[in-house]
Amino acid sequence: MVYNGDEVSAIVVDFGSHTTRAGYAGEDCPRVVCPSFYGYTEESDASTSSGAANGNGEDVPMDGSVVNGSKGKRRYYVGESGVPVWRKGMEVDNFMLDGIVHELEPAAQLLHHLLTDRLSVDPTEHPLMFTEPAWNTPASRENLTRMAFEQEGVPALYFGSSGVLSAFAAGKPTALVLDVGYANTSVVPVVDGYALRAGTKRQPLGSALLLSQLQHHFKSPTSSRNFPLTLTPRQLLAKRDPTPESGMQVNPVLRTDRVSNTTPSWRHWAEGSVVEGWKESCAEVINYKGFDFQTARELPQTLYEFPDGYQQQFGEERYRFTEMLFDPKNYFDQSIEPPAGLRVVQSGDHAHSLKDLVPLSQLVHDSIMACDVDVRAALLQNIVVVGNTSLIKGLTERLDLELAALMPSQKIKIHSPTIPFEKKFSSWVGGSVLASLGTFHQLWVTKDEYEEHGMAIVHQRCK
Amino acid sequence: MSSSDVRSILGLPQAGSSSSHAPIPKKLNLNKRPDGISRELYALIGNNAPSLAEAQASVSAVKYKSRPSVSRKKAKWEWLPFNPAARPDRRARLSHWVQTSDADPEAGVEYFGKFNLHGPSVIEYSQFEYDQHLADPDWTPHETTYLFNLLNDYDLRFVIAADRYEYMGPSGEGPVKKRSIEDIKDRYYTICRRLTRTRTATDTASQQQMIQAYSFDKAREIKRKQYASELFHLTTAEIAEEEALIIEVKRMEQTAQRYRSDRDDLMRTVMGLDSGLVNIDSSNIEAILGANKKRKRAEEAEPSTPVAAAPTKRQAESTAFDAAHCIFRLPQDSSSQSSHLATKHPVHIPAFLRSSKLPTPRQSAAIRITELLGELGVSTHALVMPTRANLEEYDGLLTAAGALVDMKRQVDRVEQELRTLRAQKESYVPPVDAKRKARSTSIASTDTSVTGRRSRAP
Repeated sequence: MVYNGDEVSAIVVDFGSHTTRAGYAGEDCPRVVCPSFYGYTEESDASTSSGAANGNGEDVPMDGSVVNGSKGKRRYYVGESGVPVWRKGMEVDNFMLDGIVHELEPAAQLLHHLLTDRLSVDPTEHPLMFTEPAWNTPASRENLTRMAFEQEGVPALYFGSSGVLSAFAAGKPTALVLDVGYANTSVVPVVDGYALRAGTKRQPLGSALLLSQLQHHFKSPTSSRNFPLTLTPRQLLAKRDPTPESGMQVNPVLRTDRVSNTTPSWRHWAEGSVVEGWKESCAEVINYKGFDFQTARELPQTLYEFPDGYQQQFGEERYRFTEMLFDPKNYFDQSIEPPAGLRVVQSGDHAHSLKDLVPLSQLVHDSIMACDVDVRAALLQNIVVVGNTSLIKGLTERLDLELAALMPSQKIKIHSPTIPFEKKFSSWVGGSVLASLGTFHQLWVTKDEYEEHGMAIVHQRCK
Repeated sequence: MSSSDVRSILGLPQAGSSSSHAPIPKKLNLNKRPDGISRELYALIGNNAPSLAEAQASVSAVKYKSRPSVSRKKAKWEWLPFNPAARPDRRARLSHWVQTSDADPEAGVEYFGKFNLHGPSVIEYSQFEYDQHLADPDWTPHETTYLFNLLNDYDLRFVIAADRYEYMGPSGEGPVKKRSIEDIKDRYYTICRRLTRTRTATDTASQQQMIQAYSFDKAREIKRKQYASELFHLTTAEIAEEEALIIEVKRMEQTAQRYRSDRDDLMRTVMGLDSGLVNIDSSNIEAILGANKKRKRAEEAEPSTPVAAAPTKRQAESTAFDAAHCIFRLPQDSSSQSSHLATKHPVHIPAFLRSSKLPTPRQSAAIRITELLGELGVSTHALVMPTRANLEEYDGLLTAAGALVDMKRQVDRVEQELRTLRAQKESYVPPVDAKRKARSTSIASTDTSVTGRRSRAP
């Protein structure tokens, strides 16, 4: 009781734009991390057997993760062995839109898959904690509530605001949480454990946009490379080029049987993952000044090899594209088609659309300025930087630099978890901490309360 | 470890006393071996025996605390349903592990229930009170109720309440109405003040205190926030400018002060009392007031004026007066009146506390003397009865203590010197001449000093 923990064996599920995290409350990292992308095949013919749906996938693991969602004649493939596994004619989509659970059916399937298949628990025995973005809509909340209580039959439920949970994971009741994620970059001021709506700002400038720019860059010839890269994912490769030379075009052996049956959406997703691999190992931010082409030649190079065997020493690309985070005016190429999901964010008090993206530091500044003057100092000294994209090397240092230039009279302190998974899954970790506390028991919305009061009790309790 | 130690351990006879070093190790070995260390071990650790080992050995007789006798009874845990303490009326829906060997399985639940606290309670009002005192053209009763519910929900956290404030009219359909923190605070505190004024009419003092506690000046608060937010956007140049200004102001202040004091000094020297430096600074005021008072009293009692050229016929009278009032006059110091200005105009002596004239120990030996006085039980900074006699005594004591400390220091130094010389003498080995000559060139300076001193020492 020293740490005031009292396990009720709660499950924490954190729906993110890129991955969904699930695990037991009280643990330090989620048990299951799987993509929020889902695959589906249109089953015009109801008699198509499961084996046929998997096409020629003799090496496709056929575990219980393929969930049959026959409703609407669509068959959904969710979880770890959903999208990443190649299937004939499988389309790919994401059930998250703007950080909010948008498509219920695949989300429900994923939730069920996580609880029963991956965590192997009986949902009726475990209270469930969802995370939600600060800008979650009441409708989405209601849908999730129904999903949890009515479909899964959980005994109790709670919605934690992901900004607040990230602040808790950093051990701060008052913090300015900057979450540089996949679809969105958001800033949430948290005061005394409550997210302030006024200062919440977001814009679709995350790794999704970064990846689409990078993907376009690799798929088109450049000054130093006179051929486009194929970015062939490993699922389509039979054999890669054995002795590739640096910067030379490669001729891997493809799985021709698969290539023809691949849908464009799956191909796009798979290429995105290939680029993501490049981004995670190569991309950096210059941490002491802005990027410029004059000095770009002097930047350190690094060797990267794509799954198909193409390899090259990458130099300025490593820095040029990430500069978009700090200077979208000059480094975000509007002519490249951005991912469709990012278009939904409309400009307003709390959001910037793709048309008027602002630098990260400006976003933080705007958020601070929208808060009451009395809490600004406390927020500035507790800036918590989380999100997978914030793992880009040099991002925190650069942010510090830019914020200091924006607000020279203020004392700014950035706190960024050093352990990668604490950055990537910070809201899950916060939820895990919160749900395992003994003092948290009274906040659970139990099933009979929900049955008695309906959604009102959820909105009242999860404020 | 020297060879003699090895010999001693191995039980070999001592080697022939060929070296002249022999007596010294022997002497060292004579140091008493502490109990609890075996002879061999002691010989091994030798003269540089670690004090820790010795210390431990000497306390080897200490009994270690015996292990606490814990009954190895297995704790029995059970997965039991429970009700969160905040909602005891509900059907149990949560389960947790409880130690069933505990007397009360509900203890944990109750323990956590204690944390279900709310912040400062929001004041409450009745409909009657509202109608009587709380009506405000800007607020409808419904909106006030809405505000109070919100404050209740967020435990009077105004920042959050203002953030969540979305009043949509009595029907709940109207346009969203936001209010600023100042609006909310003003409304809340105004209600608090009015309610306090009408309710606790019995004890006016505490009522005033309460009203004071609820005071809120909206205009001032808005102004304050405006200033604060202006300060927020200072640029680097502005910050630098501000800092430079602050430094400048400080420097100017210092210059002004120095200039003023210089001028005062000059005035005082040139014109003395007639300078009329009454309102210059506080020490002067005291000095002048003190002088006036003295003069007045002197006129009343008609004693001799403090000036040296007092009429001699009053001499006897004044001595009698002095004796009666324990006044002791120092003989006039003629040297201080050497200046021609000072002879005409008495020099200002600013008023001072007599205690500041208490003699202080010499700076160089202050610590020693203070210690010494401390041993004697004499306070160095306050005399209980600082009469003239006592002060003289005290002064004498200080001088004596100073002398004593000096003497002690000298004695110590001499003794130390003696000891070193004696040690040198004992370890002095008559040099082999040839060797000495060869080395003497290289270490000439040290050698000469040693030999020189030695020649003096005996």
